[in-house]
Amino acid sequence: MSTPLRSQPISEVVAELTERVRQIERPRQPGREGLVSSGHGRLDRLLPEPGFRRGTLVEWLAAGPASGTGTLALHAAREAARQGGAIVVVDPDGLFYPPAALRLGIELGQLIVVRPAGDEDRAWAMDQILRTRGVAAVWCQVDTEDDHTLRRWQLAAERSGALGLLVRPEAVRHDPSWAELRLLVESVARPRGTGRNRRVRVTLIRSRVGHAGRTVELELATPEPHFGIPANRPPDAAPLSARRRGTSDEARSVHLASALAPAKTGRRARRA
Amino acid sequence: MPEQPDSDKRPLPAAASRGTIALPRYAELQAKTNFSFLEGASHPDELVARAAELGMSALAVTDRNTLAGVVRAHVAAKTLQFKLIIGAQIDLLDAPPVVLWTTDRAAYGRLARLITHGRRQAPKGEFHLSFEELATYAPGLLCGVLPRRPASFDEVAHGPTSPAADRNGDSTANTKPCLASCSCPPDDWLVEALHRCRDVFGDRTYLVAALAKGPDDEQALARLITMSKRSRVPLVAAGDVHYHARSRLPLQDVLTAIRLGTTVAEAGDALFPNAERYLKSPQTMRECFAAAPDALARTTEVADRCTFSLDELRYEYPEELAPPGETPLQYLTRLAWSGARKRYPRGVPQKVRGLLEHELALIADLRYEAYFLTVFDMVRFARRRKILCQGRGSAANSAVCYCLGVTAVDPARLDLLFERFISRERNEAPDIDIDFEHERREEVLQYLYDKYGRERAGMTAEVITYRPRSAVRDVGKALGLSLDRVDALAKSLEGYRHFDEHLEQRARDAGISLDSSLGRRLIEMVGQLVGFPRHLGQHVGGMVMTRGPLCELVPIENAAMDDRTVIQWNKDDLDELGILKVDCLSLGMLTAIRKCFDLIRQHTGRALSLATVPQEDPAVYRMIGRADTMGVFQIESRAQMSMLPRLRPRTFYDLVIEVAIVRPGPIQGNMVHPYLRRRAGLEPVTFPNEEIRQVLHKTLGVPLFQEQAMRLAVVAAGFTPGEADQLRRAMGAWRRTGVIEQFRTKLLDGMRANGLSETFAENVFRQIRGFGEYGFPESHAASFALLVYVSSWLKCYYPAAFTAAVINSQPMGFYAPAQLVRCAREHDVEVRPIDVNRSVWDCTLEEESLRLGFRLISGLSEVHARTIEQARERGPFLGWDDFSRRTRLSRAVMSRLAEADVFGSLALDRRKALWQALAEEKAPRALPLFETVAAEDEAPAPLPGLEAAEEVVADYRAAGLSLKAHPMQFHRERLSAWNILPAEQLATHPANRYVRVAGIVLVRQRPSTAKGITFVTLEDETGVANLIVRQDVWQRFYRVARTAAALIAHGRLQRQGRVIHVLVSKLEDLSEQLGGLGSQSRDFH
Amino acid sequence: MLLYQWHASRGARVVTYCPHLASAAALPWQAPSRQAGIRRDMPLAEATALADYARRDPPHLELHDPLTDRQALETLAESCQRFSPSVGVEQCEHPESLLLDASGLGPLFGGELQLARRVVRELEHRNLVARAALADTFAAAWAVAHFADLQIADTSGAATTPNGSDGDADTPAVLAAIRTPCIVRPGETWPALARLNVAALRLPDELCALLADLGLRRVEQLAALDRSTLLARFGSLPLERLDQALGKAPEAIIAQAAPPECEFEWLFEYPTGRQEAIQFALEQLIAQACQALAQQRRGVLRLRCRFESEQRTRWQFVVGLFRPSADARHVGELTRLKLESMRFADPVAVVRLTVLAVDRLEYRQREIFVDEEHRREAPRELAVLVDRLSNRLGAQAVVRPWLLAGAQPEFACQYQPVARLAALPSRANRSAPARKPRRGSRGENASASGSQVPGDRPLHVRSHPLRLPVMSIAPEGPPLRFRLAGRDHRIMNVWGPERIETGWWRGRCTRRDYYQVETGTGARFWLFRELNSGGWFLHGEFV
Repeated sequence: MSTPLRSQPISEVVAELTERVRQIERPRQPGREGLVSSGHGRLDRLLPEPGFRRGTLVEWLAAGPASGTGTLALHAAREAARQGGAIVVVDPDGLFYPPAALRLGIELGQLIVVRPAGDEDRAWAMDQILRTRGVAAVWCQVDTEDDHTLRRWQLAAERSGALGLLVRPEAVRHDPSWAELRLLVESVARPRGTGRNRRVRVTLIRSRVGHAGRTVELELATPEPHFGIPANRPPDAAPLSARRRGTSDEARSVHLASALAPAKTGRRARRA
Repeated sequence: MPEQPDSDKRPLPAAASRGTIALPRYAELQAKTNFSFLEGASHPDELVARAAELGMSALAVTDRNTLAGVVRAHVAAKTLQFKLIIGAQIDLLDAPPVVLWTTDRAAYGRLARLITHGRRQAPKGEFHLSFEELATYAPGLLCGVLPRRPASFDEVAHGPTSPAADRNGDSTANTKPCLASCSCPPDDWLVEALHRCRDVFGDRTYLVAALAKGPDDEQALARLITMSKRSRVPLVAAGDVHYHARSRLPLQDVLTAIRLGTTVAEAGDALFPNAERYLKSPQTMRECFAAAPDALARTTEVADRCTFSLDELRYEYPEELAPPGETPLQYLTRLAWSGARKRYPRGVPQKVRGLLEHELALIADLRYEAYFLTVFDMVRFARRRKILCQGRGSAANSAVCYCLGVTAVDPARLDLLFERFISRERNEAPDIDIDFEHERREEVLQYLYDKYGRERAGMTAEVITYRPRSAVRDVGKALGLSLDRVDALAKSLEGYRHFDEHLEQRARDAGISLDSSLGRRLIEMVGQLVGFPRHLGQHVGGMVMTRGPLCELVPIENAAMDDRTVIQWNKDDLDELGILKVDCLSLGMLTAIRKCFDLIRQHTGRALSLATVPQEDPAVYRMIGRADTMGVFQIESRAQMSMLPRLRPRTFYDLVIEVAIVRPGPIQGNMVHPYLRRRAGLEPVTFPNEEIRQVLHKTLGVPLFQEQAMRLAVVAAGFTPGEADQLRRAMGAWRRTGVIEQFRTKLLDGMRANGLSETFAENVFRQIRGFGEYGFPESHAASFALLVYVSSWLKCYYPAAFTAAVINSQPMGFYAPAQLVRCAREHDVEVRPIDVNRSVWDCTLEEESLRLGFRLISGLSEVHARTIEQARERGPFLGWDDFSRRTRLSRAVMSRLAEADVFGSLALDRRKALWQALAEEKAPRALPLFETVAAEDEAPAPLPGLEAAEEVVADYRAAGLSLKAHPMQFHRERLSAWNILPAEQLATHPANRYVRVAGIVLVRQRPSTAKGITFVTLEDETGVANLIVRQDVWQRFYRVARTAAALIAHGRLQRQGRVIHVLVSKLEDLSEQLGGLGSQSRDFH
Repeated sequence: MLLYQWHASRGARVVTYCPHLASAAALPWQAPSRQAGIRRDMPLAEATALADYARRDPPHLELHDPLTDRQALETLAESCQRFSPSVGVEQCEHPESLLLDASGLGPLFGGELQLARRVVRELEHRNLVARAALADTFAAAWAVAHFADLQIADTSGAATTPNGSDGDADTPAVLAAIRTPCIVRPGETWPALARLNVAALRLPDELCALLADLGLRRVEQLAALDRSTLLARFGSLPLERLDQALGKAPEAIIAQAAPPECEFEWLFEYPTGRQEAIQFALEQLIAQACQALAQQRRGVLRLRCRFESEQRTRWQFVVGLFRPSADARHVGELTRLKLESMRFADPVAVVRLTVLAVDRLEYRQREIFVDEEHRREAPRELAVLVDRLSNRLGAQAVVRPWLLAGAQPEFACQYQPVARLAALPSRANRSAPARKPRRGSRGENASASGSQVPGDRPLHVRSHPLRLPVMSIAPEGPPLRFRLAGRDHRIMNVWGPERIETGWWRGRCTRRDYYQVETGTGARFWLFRELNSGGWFLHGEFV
């Protein structure tokens, strides 16, 4: 495991400390402004504050395979990006499936998927992403990770205000954490034939400000099947999202697109 | 492509295989045919046949916003005695789409009317209807609501999903994942829509549940059941059928891709995810709807409520045809007899008198009087407007029509039996087409729309179907073949009507391997797609008029042309239901003849009409026999001209034959040569028996007319008239090549039974098949022959007026003004050039001479010509300034005129005039002060004069012809040096020798029958040379052959009597050889 | 090769045709070949057919890009700066000529003829056929180069370099004739011009045609006419051109801008291996480069850093950006990342920075975000992030999903590297291909079949489904239990099947029945039965 913190040039450490000081000096804004809803009212009420604070890390511990933990965490990412900004999914294994995200209400236009090749690259990439302003949330599955790295991520998130959502196995439950919150998510089997919505039990197992130990059961609504596409809409028409109006939505949809648009002209000639 | 058999053929699952349960009763209520264009992937008859085979109790055809396919489905259902429900899926602007089923005739009328409503208020091809509008047509219609969100709901549904609203609500609002394409809260829109429908349709409202193994059918069905309970609208099962068998999935995907203008691979979610939209068996449906057996049972309930059949449609003629107090029949009889007295001022001949009585009795018997009155009404209108017209078709050559003035073919001169065309036993509609002057037909159409109203008159549709060429193009694109590949293949199929082994060879030539899966798929898909309807066009002229509202008979929609409305059925559909249409066609020659009559009257005072042109004039026949027929109706084509010297028509009936014989039917049926030999007395005329003699004696034992082919089937093979009629249609139905072969056995057997020889029978069959849809009925030929005769007579006696009239009626016929003018000059007509002080828009006559009109100048509009005419009313123009001041034409127009060299009478040649024109200001003479000031201080410019050759080229460029010389003559010296013969020498040059000719290309013609041969006509200063270019030569010299304006042709001279042509072996581009025809020749594109 | 252009109303039209791909390097805006009867402005389909018949194989089609043409010519102009300090591209819509100011340069090259020959040879090395002319005025030189007789019949009249214009002019003799420069001696301009076609005066085609109609074909005929009558009829252009040709009116070369100074160098007094020192040097160079580029409103797209030791050992790396930048900080950061990973065996003596690709800077985007500082910075920071990630992880590892909406889950979405993404349409989150609606199929017709919306999909989907032992009730029934990673899972709840039958155009039709299953612990998986074989697969997990 590399320790980038130590090999960091002095100048950068200084810059980072300065930034850190600035963060501390800046009065924490009370109220809901900096908070991101989890997307579930009952879960919000479980938390010390009704939502997640931007610029922090949140750990979601999955109590088993295919438990819905990642989905729940992605709900929070969706909420974090409501005001704009990118959602970055760090997906080393290439398993992440965007159509599912689309169904959760995430616009693919705000989504960047990063696939680092190894742990070292992932650690570095997470750090880079978390420290970038313009990133609303980072979603990543993290099994084990070095304490320093997590610390570094936490600082990076603080700098930019990004929300770091780390989906982790229950096994790391007793590892030290730099996360603001640590939640345990267990799936609950449904009795046969009682509907399709999946159930999860969420326990707040660690919080920097106490309140730990409470549990809430949530029902994750399966998206309703729908009856075909809207009848009069040609299948090739622009999707609804592109046709939405209103300033906040507009900012969201234009945002990345324009920011990432490279210059159009003259490439071919230059290459030739 | 799915390789497995249809699932219905697999062993049935446990429940059904116990065999104790009777077949479930099921009616499929939602099926799209391929008349939901580029959506449904089966023909209506395929669906009906499959539904019957599966033992369904009924099938509803519910195409999207159309009834265009119902007649075909009806015909199929009728033969199978299967219950068909007529319906349609209706898209609504502000509500979910609904499927409507018709319970009775009145409900059907409302459905047709509502489709008309939605079509008429939308641009062509679209459909706009609101729920409120739908509600007004509700009575009698059953309504199935499709649970699909209409587009307008998007905005509504999206209101609450904005972030602000989300946070306001209780947190539960946030637990529901909000999907871009999912409504929230869910289903309220549907419940609301159901309530609305129930308020309007009452207990005739249903909620349609169609399951297609989607993401979660179980839950979807559960929700629909809930919703059905909540809204108290019963649930009915359906299949959302798009094709009759699973195997059509690929074709349906291809259609979708075509519709979206993309490829299958890129069409993405526009494609159905599986093949579950096939016509499922009742058993399969029962398994699908195991959770909702009621919904399944309800299908038959719906079907039982629908009792309407298209057979109930009854066509009724318009009423207002007879004056008050008189029945239509009385009126018709009166008109006919008074007409007869006018036609025969010296007393109606006994023969005609008898015919009239007979025909009127038959008309009365079959109740066709209204039809004749309808036709008469149109003709009367045209006559009042001085629009020349003539009827043709089976009933048109009757004595009644002659007396009504519908036709000018004197029944006394012809021996056409009325009954042959209107038969008692075969309740077939009389057939009258009326040709009008092509420039004025629109007036007649608009008269009909005005008279009967848009609701009662409409044009017949023409269903445009896929041909091999278009199918290859579209399928190729959808499969992602490169554009040039597809083009190459499609182009190579040019002219091929039939889809057959050609395609494979051609695909290989175009570089598409048939061994590749792509190639196989292409061939397969094309094979399926050929014959599919693609869109509705308008028939050339068929108008339907009804007593009641037409739009309650069949939906009417907007045509591509302004002011035209079209019904959704084509002529076969109309025939099927016995609905009469009148064909109003346009014919350029009528325009020309009328204009010629006018010119003759103006200049000689002689008033002529179609009926009063002197008959059977030998001089006219002599001219025709010489093939001196350029500009004459019909017999001016290359093929006709080469036939004339062989046939040498001497009587009117010879002309009738001449018109009919040079047709694909007789040519392919190999009837031409036998006829010519018999006519020349080289072959005896024999008949196997007396009945056949009756049918064929007029045409020397060779069937030349379609009617004869049909009659032969009856008298020789024992067909009933109805069967003969089916045969006629089978010949037209080229989609299914097998159909005609079925008749073959029947024909041959029939003839054998009648004791006719095998060779004779085979011959007859070949001839009948040859007719196909190209057969020419005698009745049409007779009417055309009259126009042939009249135009020949005019050309013979009034060549100047005739030429002027034909030029003034352009575009029409085969030849350009240059050839017509040249021909006139060969007939000693003096042709005078266009001149600002003499010409008007049209060509005119000056004593015996022909004065060309401004209309020949390319790029000059009629308005400007009229300006000049008006300015000239105050006296001739005296000079350039005078002209320019009085006409105030723009610099651009002046330049056009100058380039056309029309200032001869002002002593300005084209360059001087152009030089003057260029000096004109853009806004001429804005200041009246200067009007009198002669600003011409300029010294005349030292412009070089034009050489004669340049003049000619400039003439051609401006007006398409030159009176000064022929462009070729300037090059004759060089041409002679190259051993190129002048065209006139071809008549005397030894035949079968290799020759070279050169000239301007007049016509390139490739008749569909000529096996790829192209006829090219060249013209030089001495005459024309006829070339025959075989396909291989054409391909070899493709570029030159196709594009060169002037050619050098090498080939063998062939001469048979007066028929001379050059069988080409090599082509060269003449202008390339000469280095440009004019020295400054440039390409202007 | 056929170059074509797309007209909104007239469809695809030919720009030029070149029968041999080998000589496709010919400047493409010349009058197309008459060899196959293909003409400029002809519908593409027709030209394709003609070319087809001429060559027996389908021609290569390419969309004409005038910008590329111009840029190619500009590049040529740059390379010609070795002959003259003032080189320009002719000023017109479709430039095809280079103008060199050769005043006083003859002696440097051993005479004007030698100069012209060297230019022609230079172009010959680039596989280009050029005709050079030297005269008192640019206009006259242009006229002579384009219209002076070659002693060989040139039917097209307007072509400069016949290899693109006339097939049979490809013979060595003709080529040699073309490559012989025409030198018009001082003061002999008029005799050289007088007999030329009026088109030599660079008049528009329509005007030339009009003059031809009047019989005015040669320059001398035009010049003989009264100036005021000419002015009244043809405007000032012919007179102006005439004057320019004869030196009576000035005409300047709009010189090609000098190419940006592309290379920057730092020499250490004492070679060093210290990263900080090298880093510092590199940053200085980057600052210089960015400053130079920013003045031209250009930014770096690609740059190369090369380090040399005194022993001539070399190390180098290349940095690419996905958006041009002249921000030294941004570029500096990117290079620093690379530099950090470099190990120098010997002390570095020279740092050399070469800007490999530049493009115009775009300032536009910034204006969209005007509300607050954070917002203003965010896109820039995101852009930097993407560059940084792409540079280290590779462009393929920083991607954006792009829904293809195919029914088969594996093909339902596609990824594109963010760094290489072309300008994203605002509807980028749906299916990619821009579809043009087909005529007559808009409106209700078009809304037809696509009724499928992806169902409830798991957040994790395998690109290659995993074959599993599964027990099901009936051959076609739902699954009961399955074994995964050595563990048996009993299925408590099952939803499905959702049937997918698609992809026949890819070869074999994919046919699957998908089930969502829940085990006794509430874990959810996505399984399918392959319908052709009956085998079971795990395709995804609802993590």
